[in-house]
Order: sequence, then C-alpha cells, then structure tokens
Amino acid sequence: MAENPWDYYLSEQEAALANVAGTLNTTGGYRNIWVFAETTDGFLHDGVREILGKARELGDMLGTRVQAALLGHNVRQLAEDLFSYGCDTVLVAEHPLLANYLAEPYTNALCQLVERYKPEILFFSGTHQGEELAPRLAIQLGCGVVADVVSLDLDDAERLARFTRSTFGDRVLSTSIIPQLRPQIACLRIGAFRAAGFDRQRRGEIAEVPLELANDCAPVKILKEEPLTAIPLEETKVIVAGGKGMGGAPGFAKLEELAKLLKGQVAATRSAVAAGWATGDRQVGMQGRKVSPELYVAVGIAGSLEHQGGMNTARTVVAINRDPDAAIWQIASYGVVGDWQEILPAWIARLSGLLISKR
Amino acid sequence: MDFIVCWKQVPETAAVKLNSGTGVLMRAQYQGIANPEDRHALEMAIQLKARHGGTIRVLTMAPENGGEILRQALAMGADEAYHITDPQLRGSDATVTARVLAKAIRKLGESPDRLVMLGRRSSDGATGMVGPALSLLLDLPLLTALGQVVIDQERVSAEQWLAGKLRQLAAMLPALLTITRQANTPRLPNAMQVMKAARKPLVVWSIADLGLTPANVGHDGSPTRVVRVFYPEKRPKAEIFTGDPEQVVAALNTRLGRFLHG
Ligand SMILES: Cc1cc2nc3c(=O)[nH]c(=O)nc-3n(C[C@H](O)[C@H](O)[C@H](O)COP(=O)(O)OP(=O)(O)OC[C@H]3O[C@@H](n4cnc5c(N)ncnc54)[C@H](O)[C@@H]3O)c2cc1C
Ligand SMILES: Nc1ncnc2c1ncn2[C@@H]1O[C@H](COP(=O)(O)O)[C@@H](O)[C@H]1O
Repeated sequence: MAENPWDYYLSEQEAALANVAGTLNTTGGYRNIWVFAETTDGFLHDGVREILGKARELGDMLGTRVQAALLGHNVRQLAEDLFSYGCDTVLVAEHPLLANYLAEPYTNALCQLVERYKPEILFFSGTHQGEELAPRLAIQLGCGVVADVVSLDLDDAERLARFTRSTFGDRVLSTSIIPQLRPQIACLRIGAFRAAGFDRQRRGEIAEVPLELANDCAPVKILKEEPLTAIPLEETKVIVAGGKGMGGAPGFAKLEELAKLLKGQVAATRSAVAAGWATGDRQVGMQGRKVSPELYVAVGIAGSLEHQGGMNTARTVVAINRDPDAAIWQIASYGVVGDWQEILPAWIARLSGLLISKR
Repeated sequence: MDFIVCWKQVPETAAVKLNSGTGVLMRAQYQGIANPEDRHALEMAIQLKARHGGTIRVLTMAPENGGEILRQALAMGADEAYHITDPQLRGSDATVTARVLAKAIRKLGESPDRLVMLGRRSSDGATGMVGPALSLLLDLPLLTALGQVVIDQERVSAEQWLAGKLRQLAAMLPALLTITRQANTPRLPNAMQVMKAARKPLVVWSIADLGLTPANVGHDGSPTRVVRVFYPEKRPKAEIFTGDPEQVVAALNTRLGRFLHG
C-alpha cells in the first residue's frame, strides 16, 4: 500500500522529537535582539509595536539590547517612536532604492546590517514584507527561520528562543528551536503578541549605517500603486462573520449594519461564500483568510474545524447560534443561543442607541 | 515560454489527533490533496501557455505516493511531471524544501523565458516561505501575492494584492511568481483528461539524482528542530445567554464594554 501522506507529516514530527537530545549551541559573537521596523508610506507598521513588546521582554531577561533595523528613504524621524516603544538602538539605513518596499534591495540591505552587527535573534511581523524577507535572509545568511509564530518563550540557560507555531490550521501547535545557527529568525503573527507600551520620555541611540546598493539590485519595478479602500481583514480589530445560518443576502446586510456599529468588517464561512452571500475574499478558514482580531462575532456559523482554522486565535469570540451543541461553543467566550433574526435587530438597535446617547 | 509550477501535497483537512500519553501526533487515514493555491498557479500557467505557447512542467517534493497529485496536474493540462521523493527528505523545513526545489529546477536547465510559479502559501503550514526562499536561490526576480499576470515580449507584469494596497509590478523574464486565489478559478479536468493523465510517465528523482546527500536535507540538514507538538489550550467554556432578546443584548454589551467605548 502506498504510504499515507499524513504519515509523512506526522512521523516527520516524531522523528524530529527524537532528534533534539544534546543539541549544541554556538552563539559565538552574536548578540542583541533585533526587530525589523517595517514601514509603509512613511509610517511604522502596527505590527512593529507587537514584535517590540516581545523583544523588550526577552531583552530584559537576557540582559541584551533591543535594536531596530529601520530601512527606507527619509525615515530617520521614526526612530523617536521606536525608542518610545522600548528600543535601545535604532540602526538607520537609508537609500533612495529603499523608498518603496521591494524584496531584492531590502534583502540586500538587511543582509549587510546583519552581517555587520550580528544579532542573536531577529523578529519580523508576519506581514507581506516579513514573509518575503525572513526566508530570503535565512537563505542568504544560511540560518534558520520559523514563520507564523503565535507564542514564544526563552530557554535562558541555552539562550534559545522557543517558537510556537500553529500547523494544520491552528489545530496543532508545535514548538521549534533553531539550535545552532544565528541569528534565530522568526515572523510573529499579527495580533498574537501584546503591543509594547508607549513612553514618550524614553530615549535611545541612533546608529546610521551606510549601505552599498548597486543600481541593478532592484529587478522588479513598481509601475503603479493604489490604495485598496478597505483595511484588509487580517488587520481589522473587529470581525462580524456570517455562515449558512444567515439564510441569504438580507441576513448579510444585517451583519454589515452590526459591523459598522462595531467599527469592524464582515467575513463569512465557505458555505456562505458558496451560497453567493459573500465574496470569496471574505472567506475565513483553512482555505481562506487567517485572522486574529480582538473580537470575532460568529453568527449562524456552526464552527467547523476548517472555519476555526482561520479564526481560533481571535482574542474574544462571540457566537449567535440557535443550536446549543454547535462546535462554535467550544471556542466562544460569550454568546446567545437563539435565532439571529431576533437577536441582531435588538442588538443593532441597542448599539445605535448607545452611539446616539454618546453624542 | 518555459513554465515550471511547484505543486505541493497537503493533507486533506480533518481531525488531527495527539496521543495524550506521549504528546505525539497519531497517524490518521487521510488523502493527500494538491495545495489549493497551487491549483491557481497551474491554472495561470495553462492560460498563459494558451496565449504564448510553451511547456508546463510540474514539480513536487512529496512522499512516495505524491504521484497521485501529479496526475491531477497532468489532467488539468501540465505537460510533464517530476516527483522528487526520498526517505531522507523527511523532516525538511522550509529552507531545505526550497534548496531541494532549487536543485531540481536547475537540473531542468536554464531558460531565458522561464516563469517559476508557486502558490502563495500552503494550507497546512501556511508559511509562504518557499517562494521567496526559492527566488533567492535561483536568483530570479520575486513577484508575490499575484492576481492577474500579463506577459509582453520579455517582460512579465502583474497585479500584487497587498494589505491595503494594490501594486502593479513588472520584471524581465525569467522570474518567479507566487499566485493567490484572486487570480482565477482552476479548471476541473474531465474524465478523458484524467484517463490520459493516468498513462503519462512521471519522472522520479531521488536526492542523489539532485546531487544532494542526507546531510543536506531532512532533519539533519534543517536549521530548525521541532521540540514539542501539542494541542492548543481549550478556551474556558462559553458564557451563554438565552431568553428575552433585549436582556440578552444588554448582557452582551456589558461583557463587550471595551469594544463599544473608544
Ligand atoms: C478541505 C476543506 C476546506 C474547507 N475550508 C473551509 C474554510 O476555509 N472556511 C470555512 O468556513 N469552511 C471551510 N470548509 C467547510 C466546512 O467544513 C464547513 O462546511 C463550513 O464551515 C460550514 O459553514 P457554516 O458554519 O456557515 O454552515 P453550517 O454548517 O450549515 O452551519 C450553519 C449554522 O447556523 C446555525 N443557524 C441556522 N439558522 C440560524 C438562525 N436563524 N439563527 C442562528 N443560528 C442559525 C445552525 O445551527 C448551524 O450551526 C472546508 C471544508 C473542506 C472539506
Ligand atoms: N514540497 C513541495 N513541493 C513542491 N512545491 C512546494 C513544496 N512546498 C512548498 N511548495 C510551493 O511553495 C508554495 C508555498 O509553500 P509554503 O512556503 O509551504 O507556504 C506552495 O504553494 C507550493 O507552490
């Protein structure tokens, strides 16, 4: 009989477990914790605060410095904010070729910084930029990388970061280490880590790093760039999602109303997308978007494992479902067992009332 | 045009079980399927080939039974299929996977009008790291998260869907593209195509065929090591409200206070 594909994935993990005993750790010459200070359109990305929160915590435990690599063109002034979020040093590397993010010149520049200053740990946010840069850097420098990290701690005796990531659509967690190679590179999932506090008084040091970038180091050209009006689902704090139980487009119109009041966006299950009540880009789940909002309101959603795979890292899940045995209750924090056709209008009315009375 | 599509076998989603005693994942009976976004990548190659001509070669690094999903690719319209399989590959992490794929693509020769096409992310690990890593190894311009793709002479241009923005990118061929589900709707092969695909030969390569040794791949060659596999913590049981809608939503609002103010 042919080998079962699961066996491959699973025994891979088993064998890996057997393999850790007696790993050797050579941190020789690598020190300090770095974050990649991602920017878009001249602003720091929100995720930077989250990775800095973690970096600061580890830095204090290890007694090492927390440093940010700030790449771009005319971005120096952002260093102030990075200090306020807990950075000790900001390495500023400016170059006209870095004005707009592109994988090749950014990889090149970041490699120059890492090779020169040798950080022990390097964090990226799990954004488009992080997902491109982290693996490219790992290949270029010959070190290890862990993606989509949802929690992490430190084996301080060994100075090893222990990265926990989710696999199989968040149904199984696995913890990895990078025993030998430095820096230890990781992408941290947006929303999974607490943002660093802000202290205006905090000061730090700026180090300007000269770069050598050849003119032909940017083979990809940006012809045009336009904002997409909606904030991507992955970055909204509140998501109101509907499933097959919404029964049709009018149900989704109600969800839109609720989402507006909660300053969030509407998402859907695969069944609702298949029924044509929501567009495919709204699908959350193993085959859809992976989201970690502060609040996820699931209305008429059974809570299949496939759907949970895209949202069970949400901080608070509220469900409205008339089935008291639906799977969604396994992950909900609060909810109403009942018909949404009764609950939603009452909730919408009450929330609009709240808004009016606040004015 | 020389299209190379990387096609990954992922487990069909279903209950994943841990052995409660050892914390080790238990083997379950599941089918491997082609990673959903890889279907979009192949569909794009098929459409571009229809317009510009060329050949489509599909490549997978998978266990012995990976041939099945390659047949699906052939049935959809790929011309040739390559199966990289070797017991030593077990435990390869993303960087090693990229190194193995890079070796295989180099073995397919050089071509000035090549497009290497991948899914943006795989559905099991969902790391999206293989494409960017591979672009560096092959020294190809990297264009990720693409919807529409157009080839004009020696240039490829494409729309890139990013958080909050849409960019139009361009690069000279050869290049490496990662494709998202926005790009197209993958076709379903008909019975005839499936039957024809079943008779086509697959090329099978071991690591030795790629000039790799066990030390380069699998657990031993991978920089990352898994030290623990476990289930996520169960959340506290839900606090459930029932009864009069007015009272129920009032109770909800009290619990959600921090979302409603500020
Ligand atoms: C390989 C694979 C991948 C998949 N990927 C995804 C994915 O990415 N995302 C995804 O969502 N699904 C995915 N699915 C599908 C998934 O298995 C489920 O079928 C789907 O999530 C169910 O959607 P649902 O909860 O909307 O529908 P249902 O299962 O039909 O549930 C509807 C719920 O609504 C409740 N309800 C009905 N009427 C009312 C009412 N008036 N008031 C209150 N509650 C009501 C019912 O009690 C029920 O719990 C995938 C499946 C497979 C096989
Ligand atoms: N073992 C593999 N064989 C072939 N292609 C792969 C393999 N692993 C990853 N890929 C390709 O890389 C893409 C991204 O995968 P990942 O980095 O795992 O999210 C997939 O969509 C595939 O196109």
